[in-house]
Amino acid sequence: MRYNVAELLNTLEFQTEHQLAYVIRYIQNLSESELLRHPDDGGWSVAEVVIHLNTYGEYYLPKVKSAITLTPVTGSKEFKSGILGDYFIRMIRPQTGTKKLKAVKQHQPVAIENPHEAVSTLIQQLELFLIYCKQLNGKDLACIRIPTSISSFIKLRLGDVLLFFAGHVDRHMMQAGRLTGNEFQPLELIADMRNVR
Amino acid sequence: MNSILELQEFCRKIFPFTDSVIDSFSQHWKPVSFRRKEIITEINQIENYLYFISEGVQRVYYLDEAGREATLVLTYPYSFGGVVDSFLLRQPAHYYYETLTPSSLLRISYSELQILKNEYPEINEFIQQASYKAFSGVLSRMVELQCFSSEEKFKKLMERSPHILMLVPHKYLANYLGIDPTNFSKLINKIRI
Repeated sequence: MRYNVAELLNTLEFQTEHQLAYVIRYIQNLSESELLRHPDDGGWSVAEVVIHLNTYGEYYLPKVKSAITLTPVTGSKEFKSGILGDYFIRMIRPQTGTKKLKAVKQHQPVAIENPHEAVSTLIQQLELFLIYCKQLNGKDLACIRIPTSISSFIKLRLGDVLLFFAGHVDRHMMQAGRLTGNEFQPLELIADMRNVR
Repeated sequence: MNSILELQEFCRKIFPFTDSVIDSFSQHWKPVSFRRKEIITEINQIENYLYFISEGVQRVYYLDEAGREATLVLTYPYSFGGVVDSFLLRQPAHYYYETLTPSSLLRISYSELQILKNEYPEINEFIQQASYKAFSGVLSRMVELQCFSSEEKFKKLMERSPHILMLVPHKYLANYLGIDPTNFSKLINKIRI
């Protein structure tokens, strides 16, 4: 997929803003018991969803941060996804990846000591992601490659990491929405953009 | 109500403006908007604008050499905003002014305000009155910070702005109230439920 860089970063910012507004409005004020409650089908609690998301932020955000300093300012207005990037993004986005996925070991939520702190961390991570999108304006999103958390042999372009990260958050926000009873509708902007060649 | 009307109503609470003067005054305020976590005023810049908040929440904060933040002021509809001491004294700001949520504000530049102050004595009076009130507000806040319990501070904030918990990450509210974030979470659980 080809994207216009300015539009891509703009969309990612709106997507993250939407996610942040949801977490602040519907998740951060839940009681500890509400955060820890498991649904009847034995799936994850809201706290476990949050902690799972945090494991991705912990891994990827520092790498995005260093990529920003290393990334050259570019004249290119376009970003082209890598083949693997395209595949992972398609798989993880709720709009395109309908298959049920199982979290790998390093991203399984561990014992929860402080659910509110976990929510705080998620908010902090989403704010950082927002800030990084702003800082990446005018920069080359294909130059720096980042190894994935699951296999360091697989490296994705920075732009693809951003798309994957945001899509992954959307996926789990929808899950959290089902748990809290406050529906989360991911923004459709990226979905529209993917039809643009 | 649109933001210019809100501005007029807010100003009238501070000073009994005549219709023609408030109309002239409010015409010079221009709308501006920001996304979340945008710096409106940088440290060491001279604040060039006085802001009036129509939408969203913002904060004035101090950053020390160790990277610790002190949230001094939270601004939200309907009130004035900006690094006001820098604005009035024409000195470099010691603080940052940033958005905590997407925000819409009205603003007037220092130079325009100067022209208006010279043209209309009421506007000059108004700025003085607003400054005195702001000073009084700072003293009240010092009392809160030094004398109130965490619970009292929290309750006061909830009285002033009940919806703020649903708009702003807790860490900023805890920072504003001078409460440890963990204790802040405990407070919410204790008081709200």
